[in-house]
Amino acid sequence: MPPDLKPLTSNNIEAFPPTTPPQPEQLDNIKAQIDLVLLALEALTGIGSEAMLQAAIDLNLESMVADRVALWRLRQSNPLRKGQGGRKKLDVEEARALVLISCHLAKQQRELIRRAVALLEQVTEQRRQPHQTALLGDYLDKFNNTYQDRMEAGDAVSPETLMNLALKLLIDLLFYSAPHGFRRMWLALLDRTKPR
Amino acid sequence: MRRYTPPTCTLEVMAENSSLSRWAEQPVVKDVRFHLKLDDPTLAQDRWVELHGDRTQLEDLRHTVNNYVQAFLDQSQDFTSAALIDPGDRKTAITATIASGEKTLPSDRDINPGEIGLRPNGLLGHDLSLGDLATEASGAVIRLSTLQLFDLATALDDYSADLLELPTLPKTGWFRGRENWAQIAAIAVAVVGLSASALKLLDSSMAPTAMAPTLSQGTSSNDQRIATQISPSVVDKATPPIISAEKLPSIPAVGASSKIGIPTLAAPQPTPGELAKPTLPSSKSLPQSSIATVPITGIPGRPTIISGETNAATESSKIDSSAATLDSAAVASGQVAAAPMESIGRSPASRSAVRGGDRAANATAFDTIPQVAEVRTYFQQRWKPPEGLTQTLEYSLILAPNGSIQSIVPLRQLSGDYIDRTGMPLVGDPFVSALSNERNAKIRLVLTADGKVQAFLEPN
Repeated sequence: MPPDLKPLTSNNIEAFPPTTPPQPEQLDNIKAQIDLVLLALEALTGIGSEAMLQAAIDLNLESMVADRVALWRLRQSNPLRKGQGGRKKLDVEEARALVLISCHLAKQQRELIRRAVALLEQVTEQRRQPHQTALLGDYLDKFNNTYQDRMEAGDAVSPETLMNLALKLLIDLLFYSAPHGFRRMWLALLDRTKPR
Repeated sequence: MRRYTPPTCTLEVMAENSSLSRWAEQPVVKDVRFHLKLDDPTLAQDRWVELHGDRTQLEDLRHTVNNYVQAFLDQSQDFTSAALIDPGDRKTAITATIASGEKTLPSDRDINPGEIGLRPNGLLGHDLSLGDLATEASGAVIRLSTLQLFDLATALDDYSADLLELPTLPKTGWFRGRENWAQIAAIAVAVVGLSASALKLLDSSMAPTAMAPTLSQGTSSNDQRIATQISPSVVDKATPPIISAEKLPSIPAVGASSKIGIPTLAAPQPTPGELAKPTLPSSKSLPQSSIATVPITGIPGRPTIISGETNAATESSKIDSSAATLDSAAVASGQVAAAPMESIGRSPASRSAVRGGDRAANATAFDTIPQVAEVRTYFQQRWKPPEGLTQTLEYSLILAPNGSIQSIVPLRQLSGDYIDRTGMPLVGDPFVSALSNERNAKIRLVLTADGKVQAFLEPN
């Protein structure tokens, strides 16, 4: 059971150190997952590295994410990404910083995320395709394109799988945008990255 | 009353003001009830659902929703797991893993009828089985949209934060509050003793035998023994009102008019000593009263929550008031017993640290302390889930600067019930290494039914 004692409005990272040090394969999964969550945020809201760096400043995490290059290197640690050379390892502290930034941005964009989820519920109820709405259509296209663009063997993943992934990540973003979002995301990363 | 109003639901948590409030420095509440209205404005009003329940049901609901949401979020990793495990045949691996991942959320057969449970219904739907919260109007299962689930989870999280932040706040008047409790306990015990003695004496005076003084003597000495356990200083205050045989003659007049009350009250009651005993906890049985302990330290005006079972007395008149007094005594003695334990090891320095606890809010991001790992290791060596335990136990532990436990707050009733099986050290006993910064540390301990141990540092 995930804990919740104080209203973590500030999502204080101090509150959630890892329960046990993640194994290397767990960390790989964490890195990939965080990068995908950020990708979904980018695709939906149009924010870029500028907003992520600003979030790092807001959260006093400049030491972890100082500039664009540092951010790129952190995200490039996603093992699904293209370009093997020079990939930086991501340690637990950096992973937590990225989770914190993701949830901070999700919170800032919660109105838009909520609207997108509401729209998704609506089109599903009406048995229409998400692509038929501008907001979801744009999101899915952008997610798809960016994924193909950035990830190795992106074309090995069927468009349908990618769409499902994008929609699932959209719903996840809704939960990450809550006051307790950081805890949820962090525990989701830790809980399920156990070797299966 | 607290009200939480995300867009698609309204959660109201209500409680009655306890008569104990007059003795405490802030409201003390009991009989916690909740009222949940799923009033999504996009739905027709006839599809709105209203649910009512008590605190246990609210906690069940909160845990169900929380666990389900977490499991739902965990699922997203099926994709990355698959993609990473088998980069050679990514497509097949991903499809297979996503298919199997869907089974990780509960299905029909995992939810017993009569229990609160949640299971997915498509990507966006979630069927909430209401268990004993179900009403005729609601039916046994209601379908929540994702937004409704999100709002419900948010409301329950907010409620939980309100409830649980109580023990974390620095207090002035902490000790004064506890002295009050000591007095309440002493007075309550004295009242219990007095009424029990009086009733017995009364009984015997109506059928006079030579036994009367003996009975009185026996009861009084019991009273005294209990009072001594509480605090020697209050015994002195408590002793004078205890009956002496000379005062007897004035009593029968009162008793004559309430003859019916006497046998009913006297018969099922053990001596006060026996009665109070189970509620004088060793530190290992802090449990239910612990939530009651918490509130004393809360900020003024914030409701304090006593477990709902406290007062079951519904009989009338004299019996009722006596029973209520007994309940109060039970609660109060629990409080008093808990108080000294929690204060052991609390140096003046640590007191000031508690008061300054809010400073931690702007601590830098990663200053994890080694004591968290020590706590984890401690319990990993000791935690063996008892048979039959299916739910997770959670405790909020406050460490004193010297590394001993300063207080233990079980976060649910169940956690309180099982506290003696957790291997929890006693308050004040050596536990982990001393804290380097002379501040208290608050650690969340999570013990799962499958034997896992988690520990986190919590913000002070």
